[in-house]
Amino acid sequence: MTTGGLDPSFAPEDPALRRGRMRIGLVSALFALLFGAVAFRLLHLAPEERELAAAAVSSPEPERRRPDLLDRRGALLATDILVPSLAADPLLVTDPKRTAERLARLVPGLGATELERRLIQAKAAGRRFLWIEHRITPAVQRAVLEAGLPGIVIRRADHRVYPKGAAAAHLVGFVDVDNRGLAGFEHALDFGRAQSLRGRDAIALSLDLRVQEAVREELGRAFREFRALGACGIVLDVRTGELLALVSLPDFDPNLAARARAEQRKNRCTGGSYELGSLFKLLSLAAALESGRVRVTQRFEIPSALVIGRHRIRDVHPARRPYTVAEIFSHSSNIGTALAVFAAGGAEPLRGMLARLGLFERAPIELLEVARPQLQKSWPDVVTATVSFGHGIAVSPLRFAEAVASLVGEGARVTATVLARSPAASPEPAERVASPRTVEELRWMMWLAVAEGTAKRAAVPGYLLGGKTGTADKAGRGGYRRGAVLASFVGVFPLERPRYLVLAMLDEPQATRASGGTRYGGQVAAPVVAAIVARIGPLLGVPPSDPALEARYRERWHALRATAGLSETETRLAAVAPRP
Amino acid sequence: MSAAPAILLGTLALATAAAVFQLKHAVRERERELALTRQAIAEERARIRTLRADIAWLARVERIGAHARELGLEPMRTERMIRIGDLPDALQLELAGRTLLVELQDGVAIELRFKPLPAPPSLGSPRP
Repeated sequence: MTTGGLDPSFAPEDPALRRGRMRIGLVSALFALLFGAVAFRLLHLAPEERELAAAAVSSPEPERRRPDLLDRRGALLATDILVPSLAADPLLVTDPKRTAERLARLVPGLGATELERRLIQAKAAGRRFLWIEHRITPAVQRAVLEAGLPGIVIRRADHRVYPKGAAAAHLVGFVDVDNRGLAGFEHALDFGRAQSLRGRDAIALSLDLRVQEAVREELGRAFREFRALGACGIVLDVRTGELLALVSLPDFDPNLAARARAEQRKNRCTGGSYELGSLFKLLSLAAALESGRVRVTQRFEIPSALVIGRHRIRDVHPARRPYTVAEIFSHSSNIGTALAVFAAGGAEPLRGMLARLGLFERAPIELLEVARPQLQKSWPDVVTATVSFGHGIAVSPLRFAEAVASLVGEGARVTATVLARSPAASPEPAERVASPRTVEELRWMMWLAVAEGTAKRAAVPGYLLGGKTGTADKAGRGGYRRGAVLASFVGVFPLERPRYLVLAMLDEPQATRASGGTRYGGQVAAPVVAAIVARIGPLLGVPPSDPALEARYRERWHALRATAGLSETETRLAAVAPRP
Repeated sequence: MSAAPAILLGTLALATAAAVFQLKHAVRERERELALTRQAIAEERARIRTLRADIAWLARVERIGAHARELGLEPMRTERMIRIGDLPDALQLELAGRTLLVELQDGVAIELRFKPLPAPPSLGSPRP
C-alpha cells in the first residue's frame, strides 16, 4: 500500500542535530573511557590474596628464630633474645683510625689496631656491612650512640641464651655467634636428624631438669672427692628410651662456650668409647643364659688362673670354691664369666647377643657426638674371654645403657632418645633380645649383686634396686696402665618392674678414705647411684617396692646357698667384708 | 537536555575519583597501622622471651637451692613414702576417690561421693 507525502524517516537530517549527536557520542565515549580507567584503578588497588600473604610474611619479627628448647616439664633450657650488637657500614666510615680508637675506648676488649685494619680492608673491598662486636651491654650501646661516629650502627639481633647455665650443657649444646649449632642438640637441630623440627616454636626434650640437677650434684660430689679425670651419669627410662639425665664432667657454661676447654666440652656419655670392664658381665651372662646351655644355678670350678695360649686370666678376688652363675655375677669373677661363656658355646652366642643389642654400631640417638664402638677384628678364644668381662671392646656409656635397658626392661630392644615422647603414644614394637626367663634371671642376679655381692653400697632403703659394678683397667701405650681404672655402676629400679636405669662412671678416680682406700666401682660409683636413686625415686613418683618380692628373691638365694651347703660367711665376698 | 547526562556523568566521575582517592589513603593508613601493630607484637614477644629467660635464670638450682637450705628444706626421702595399701584406712581412701552417679526422679543426675571418717586416734590428731 502506498501513501501520499514523504516518510519523515527519509527526511534529510538537520546538520546541527547530527553534530550534536556526534558530540554527545564523543562525550559518552570519553566518560566510558574515564569510568573504565577508574574501574581498572579500583581493581588495581584491591589487594590480592597473594599480596596479603606476602604482607604477613614481611612482619618486622626477625627472620625465623631457633626453636626454644624445653625440658619434659616445660622448664626453659635455651631461647633467643634480642640483644644489641655493634656494626659498621665501612663505606660511610670517614676516618677508620679515629673511629677505631674511639670505639676501642668505649667497648671493653676491643683492639683499636685490629679494628682499624678490618675497617680499612672492608672499605677497600666495597663492603657495606661489618660486625664489630656482638652482644654489647646497654651502657656500651648508650656510649656508642652518644659518640655519634659516622658509619657506626647498632643492630639488634637474636642471641641464644641458656638460662640454666651448665646444668644440661652437653645435651643441649651451644651455638656460634651466627646462631648456628656447634654441639649437642643445637648441632643436631641444624645438621642432624632433628632438622625436621626446626620449624617449631619450641621443642620438648626428654630431659627432666630435676633429675639432671640431682645427677649433676651427686656425680659432681664424687668427681671432686675422688679427683677423677672425668665422669658420666645417665638416667634412662627403660620403657620409652627417653634420656631423663645426661651429665658429663667436667662441664661448662654454654653461655660462655668459647672459654671452655676441649676437656670440658667432651661429652663422655655419648662421644667417648670405654672398655667398661665387669659391667659387661651383665651382657655376657645374659648371652650364656639365653643360649639355653647354661643355667643360673649351674656351678663352675674357678681355677686360680685361666690359661688361654700364652695369656693368663686372673680374678681380683680369687674364688676358693665353685661358684654358681649367680655368684659369678654377684662376686664379679672374670674367670667364671669366661667359663660360662665358653660353656654356652664361646664366641658365637656372645657375638650374637652383642649384635642384637646393637653394640657393634653407633647409638642411633639424635645427637651427632656419638662414638663408634672399638672392636676386635677376629675373635679367638682369648678375645672371647676378655670381651666377656669387658676388655677388648670399647663402647659409649650410652650404648651400654641402652643394652642393659633392653635386657632388664621387657627383653625388647630399647633405643635412647633425647626427645620427649608423648605419654599417649604407644611404644613402637622392638626386636626381642632376650626371653622373659633370661630377663627374670638377670633381675635376680642384679638384686643379688646389691644384696650380697660387690654392690652393697648401692642399696637404697625402700626400693628394690639391682645392679652391676665395674672396675676396668685403662689401656695405655703398650698395655694396661697400672693404677688407672674406670669405676662404674649400672643400676635399675624398681626391680619388680624396672622403669629407670641409672649409670655412673668415673674416669681414673683416686683412692680416698671414703672409698676405703680402693678405686672399685662398688666403692666409688655404687654410692653415687644409690644417692641419685634415693633423690629421684620420690621425685618421679616411684612408690616404695613391695617387700614381698625382696623376700622371694632372698628365699631363692637362701635355697641356692643351702643346696651348696654353704654358710653366710663363706658366701660373702672378701672385698665387701667389713674391714678389720 | 543533552548537557544534563554529561554533567551527571562528570559529577559521578569526580565523586568516584574522590572516593578512590579516599580509599587509597585509608588503605595506606591501615597498612601503616598494621605494620606498627606487627612491630609492637614483635617487640612484646621479644620482651616476653627475655622475661621468660630471666625467670628461668632466677629459678636455677644454685639460687633456689641456697634459699631452700636457708628454709631448712631437703629432698624427700623414700622413708617418708608409704604405700596406700599399708594405711589402716586404705579402704576409706579408695572409696573417697570413687563417685556414684545417681539420677533423681525429676531426671536430674547428681554425683555422690564418699566422705572419709575422721582419722582414728592412732594416726594422730591434726596439728593445731
